[in-house]
Amino acid sequence: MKMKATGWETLPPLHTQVDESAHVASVPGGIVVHSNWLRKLLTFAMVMGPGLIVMEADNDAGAVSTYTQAGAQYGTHLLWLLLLLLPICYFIQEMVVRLGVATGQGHAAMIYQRFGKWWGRFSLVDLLVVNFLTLVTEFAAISLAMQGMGIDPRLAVPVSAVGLVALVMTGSYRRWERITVILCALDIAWIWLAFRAGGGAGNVVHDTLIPTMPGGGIKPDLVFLVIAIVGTTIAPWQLFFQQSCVADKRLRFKDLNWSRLDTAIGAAFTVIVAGCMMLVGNLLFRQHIPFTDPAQMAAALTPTLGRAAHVAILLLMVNAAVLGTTAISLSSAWAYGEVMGWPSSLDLNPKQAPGFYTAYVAFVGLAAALVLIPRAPLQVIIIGVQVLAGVILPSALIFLQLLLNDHELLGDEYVNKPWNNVVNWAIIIILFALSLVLAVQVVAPNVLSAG
Amino acid sequence: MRTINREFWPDFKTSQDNGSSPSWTPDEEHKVRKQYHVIHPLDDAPEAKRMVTPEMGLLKLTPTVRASLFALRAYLLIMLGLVAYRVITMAR
Repeated sequence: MKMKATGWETLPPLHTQVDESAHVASVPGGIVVHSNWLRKLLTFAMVMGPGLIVMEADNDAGAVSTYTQAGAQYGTHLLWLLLLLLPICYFIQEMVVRLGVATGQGHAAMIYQRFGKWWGRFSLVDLLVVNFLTLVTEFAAISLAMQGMGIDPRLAVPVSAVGLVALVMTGSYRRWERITVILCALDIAWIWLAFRAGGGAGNVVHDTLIPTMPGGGIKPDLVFLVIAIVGTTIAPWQLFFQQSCVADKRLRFKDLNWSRLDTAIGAAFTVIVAGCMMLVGNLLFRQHIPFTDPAQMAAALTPTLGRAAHVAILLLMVNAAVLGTTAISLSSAWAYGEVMGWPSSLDLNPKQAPGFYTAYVAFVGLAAALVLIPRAPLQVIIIGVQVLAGVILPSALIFLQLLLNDHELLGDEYVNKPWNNVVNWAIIIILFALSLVLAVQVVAPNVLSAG
Repeated sequence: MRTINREFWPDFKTSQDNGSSPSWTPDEEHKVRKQYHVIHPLDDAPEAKRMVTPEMGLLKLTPTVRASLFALRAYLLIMLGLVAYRVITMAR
């Protein structure tokens, strides 16, 4: 592993603004419009993408399982938690956007450059391990959902892996982004499913706005489900992914507010979709039908919601896994490439960025292959994902927080405001406490249950 | 008086356009002012960013922050050790 040497010496010194009129005069292409609102709409359409994708990809296969289980076990009682997580998601990812726009570099590169080799390597290795294990769970979900539709996993998993590789290999960032945004939009089908599942509008609004505890009080199972929801909604790879995505898309200083809007819309959409997943699970809560995974849930819902809903849930599960896989693999490939000093961009073709694409293919291929191994220790892998994510998330947020207070690098304009710091430190402390509880539970399961 | 950028609006003609001294009436000026050029970030000229220069070196930390990071390093190593132990136990 070596330090990224290119760029630092050759790039111009600190500079905050570029003359926009000079841009217009010197850059060919673009679109000329005649109204200000159309300009704003078009600018947003061009800037949007990283925020929506990072948020919606977080509703991956594990999230589908967690949210539907939450609905099946506690009905609509935990909807308020999603509303609470919405601003938290936004605040964390907004910092990443600011850092990405201001520096034009990925998160791994920033940690390496500002905190040194030890933390750089530790963060990278931790990210790569937890991402790889998460990828295995994504492919396991694809296998499960395809099996539910009568497709042999030995065919479904390799075909999915090839499709995921083909998605990024086109040498066009825009093509990848457009396809991925369409995949994100498919999650609107969860809203249709939630309407089909019902649950009472008044009840849903009440439980969303007013925190309530399920009957039976606070028990270890509830605590761990709450931790799982928090851990599912805020994941370490998101920090690395969005900053690299913003850097790869070359978002400009003037795009910062549009990118914030993109992130806010993404957060809202993700939380709405997550709520809909809970409402689908809630239908089985009302019918007192237990299930262990979303594929079983889809089968159990067939008598009530029909065959179309059954297939829709399985396809949405595949879509969630595909979104999660492409985003997580890219966050790994970008981070690895940044630290190695390789050209790492979706806008480069495989010949121009061989290391970056090789890393992506290796992550996807190895995870898919592991799922196909008979009797692979999937349960151990799932636990490993939960614990490692829980352990590295708060520490990753600490580095993010320190980087966003780096006046020397960011100047006064882009560093955190005092209120940002208060909010973010509060979030870090809460997440630290939750991750500690989760880690203790997994490492020593009887300690908390005995209490 | 503003000048017309003919590279971008080569067909734009003003009422007094004789090809030498561009100037236009208020109506024409209004028309030009209403034109907005929207460029995709990937098509735009790269802008200078705030970069880490060799002179900057590592982030300057207060002793408290440095001690906290040292504690964090110890916490993470212990936790990872416990997780590894647990995984090995489960695998058996």
